[in-house]
Amino acid sequence: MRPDKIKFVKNGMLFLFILVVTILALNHLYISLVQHNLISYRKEVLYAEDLNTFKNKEIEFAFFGDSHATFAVNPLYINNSYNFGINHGNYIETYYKLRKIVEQDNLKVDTIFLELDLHTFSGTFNEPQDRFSNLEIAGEMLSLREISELREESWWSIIMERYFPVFGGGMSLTESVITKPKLTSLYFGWEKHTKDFSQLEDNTKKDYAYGKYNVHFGENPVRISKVPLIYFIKTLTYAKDNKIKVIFIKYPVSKEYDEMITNKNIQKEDYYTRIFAYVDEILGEEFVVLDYYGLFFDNPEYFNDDDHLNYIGAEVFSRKISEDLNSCIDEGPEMNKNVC
Amino acid sequence: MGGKPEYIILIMASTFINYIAGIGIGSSNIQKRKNIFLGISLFSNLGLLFGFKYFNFFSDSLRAILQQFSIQLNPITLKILMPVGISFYTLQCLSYTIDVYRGEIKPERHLGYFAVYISFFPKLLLGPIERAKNLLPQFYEKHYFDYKRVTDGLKLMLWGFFKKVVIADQLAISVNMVFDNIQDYTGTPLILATLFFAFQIYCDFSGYSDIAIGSAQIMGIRMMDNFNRPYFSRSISEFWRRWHISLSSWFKDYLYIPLGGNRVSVPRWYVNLLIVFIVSGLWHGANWTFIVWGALHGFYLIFEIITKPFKNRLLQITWMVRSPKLVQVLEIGFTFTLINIGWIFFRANSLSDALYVFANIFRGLSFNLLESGLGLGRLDFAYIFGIIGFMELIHLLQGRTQIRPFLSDKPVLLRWGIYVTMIVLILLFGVFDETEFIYSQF
Repeated sequence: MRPDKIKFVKNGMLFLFILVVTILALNHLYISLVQHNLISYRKEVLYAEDLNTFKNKEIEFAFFGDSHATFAVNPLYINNSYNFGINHGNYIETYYKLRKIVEQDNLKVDTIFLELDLHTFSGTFNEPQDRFSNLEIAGEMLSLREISELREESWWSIIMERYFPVFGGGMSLTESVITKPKLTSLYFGWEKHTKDFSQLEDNTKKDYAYGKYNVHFGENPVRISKVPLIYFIKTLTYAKDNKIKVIFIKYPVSKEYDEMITNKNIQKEDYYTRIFAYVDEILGEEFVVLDYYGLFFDNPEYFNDDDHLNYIGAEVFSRKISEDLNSCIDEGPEMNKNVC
Repeated sequence: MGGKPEYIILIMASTFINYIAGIGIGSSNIQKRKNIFLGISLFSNLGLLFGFKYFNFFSDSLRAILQQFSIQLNPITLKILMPVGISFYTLQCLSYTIDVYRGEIKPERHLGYFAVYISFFPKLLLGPIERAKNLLPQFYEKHYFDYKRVTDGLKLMLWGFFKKVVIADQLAISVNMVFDNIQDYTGTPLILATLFFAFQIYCDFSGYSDIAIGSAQIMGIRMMDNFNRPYFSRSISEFWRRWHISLSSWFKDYLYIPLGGNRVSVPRWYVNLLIVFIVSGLWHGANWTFIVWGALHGFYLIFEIITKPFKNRLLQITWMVRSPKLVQVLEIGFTFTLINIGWIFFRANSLSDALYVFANIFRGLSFNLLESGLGLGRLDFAYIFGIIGFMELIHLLQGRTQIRPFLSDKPVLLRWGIYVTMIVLILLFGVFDETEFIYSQF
């Protein structure tokens, strides 16, 4: 080999070594400073601790859903309950989460509460790339190969995201280094948020609602996407097979949000008719629907933003669920969709 | 823009036709035969370009024009994807046969070398649009491993990746958000998006050129420079000597000069300039926005030529000739503003969108960038302006010295520190979401 080539190979290897060490160090720093401060990760850590507090490893009421659930259901006011909601979650994650709880964590769940909001199955809200935002946690529930299929991304990119989350994460790392992260308080999966939507000006409220309309229904016009629907059906079937009761919740939203989606012609009745057709097919009459959609139209002070409850709203709402559950249970063991 | 495997046949056919045409022109002494072979080359190249790139545009435009006269027509629309790199390799084929026709080069008789000239991978997709007299002889040379040449090529590629992944793709997020939802914005976000687009398109395209030139350099092939710090231009004519140089020089050699260039009457000269820039605009894309962009630059140049004596007089009257630095800064600023006005047409999705920007760009101006509606925080702005500032600092340095030899003189620790930092910045701050190069759509 010519001296030039030898020099190139030697220097190249040394350079690569220095580069790899630098990247590994930064990756480690990112995982500890950014990834482990993410709410999804902290929830998992707390859940692992909370597991020991469940009597006989039994949970009576387990709440699943997206941020609507995580903001709204405070298990402090609902006896023997836990909030398994995931921010920007969907039925794919709900299915795998439920399976993990029952099969890996050996928890006995009596009743699951599933979110059935207007955006729950929308194409915009269920874009493949948004599925499983935290691969460290998702990796415990299913294989990276399965995640790559569900995310419609290459296995290679999933591997990189799982093991080298620092790639593309420079801004978050810089931010966490120069500012102290504000950590949201958590209790049994519930997130405490303290903003007061009623304090905002009317135009700002409308801007919020428009922004949320875009997040929920924006560019993709599909109202019921195929993959989340399949996993919704799988979740119901899994619940039925494991003798877990199912209660559906329509979470409260602000008047501004409702006005926005009404103006944008987002169909409500037709949507629910189609969804409940699937539910009827699997569960028959064996489910309950708690419709709180318009419950707080006149209480903007209960909201953190246009469609999420703040900590006061969460308390009122959770107490309300608790009361409604008591009345359901009082009326007999056989739950029926007309009861609550 | 499509990358269908069957489109390889197109480039193979194009290569073969131009190869035959080149030999036909070069081996014939009869002018008529030369003309026929040149005609075949022109017809095949322009036909390919028209069929795949412009047919639907002209078809739709014809329908729209006839509709104005209440004539209903349903013209044929082709449902085809534009083959990758077609705009670039057709120009390269054209320049080859025209050069052979002019007797500037001899025809290439080795089909393999000719095919490599057309499809040499670093420049196939987005140029630089290389001339045969520069590239073809290099394929015959023996290329030995050269440490300095290889590492220099790698450094250039690194700089290209930095510009593309760290700057261009980051800016693209805000630019796309605004220009794809243009009616949602007025004032500051429109200004910011336009400004960001200026740097996005520069970093995107010059980034690609650096990667292409650098990778060719590693293999021992020298390609022409495509950009030379264009935003430091003091006039529009200077801008076009610094921006997409391989295309500008192509249009100069194969369109502007054949039209008569500036060796004609003044009105005809202006018409020549306009023709060249309108065709250049059309080359960029089959859309009226590109045609207006091209025409606008043509008008800029004409305006520049007409006002040059007045400008010089004004500088003398105001004593500004005594402050050449100040004049330089003002000229750069003025030219940059004009270029940005052009970019609005270039980036807008339609002419009506571009006009919306002009109508609303100063409406509801706010100097609070954090409330600009781009969803960017303090840190994001610091980052964006920081990386643009860093790049321009490098450009300033480039104006005084050559960066790569400058770095070579520095201690190894410093040099390697810089390279590691650059790679780490690319990996950490890069946007890795399959963002295409802007010019790949052309």
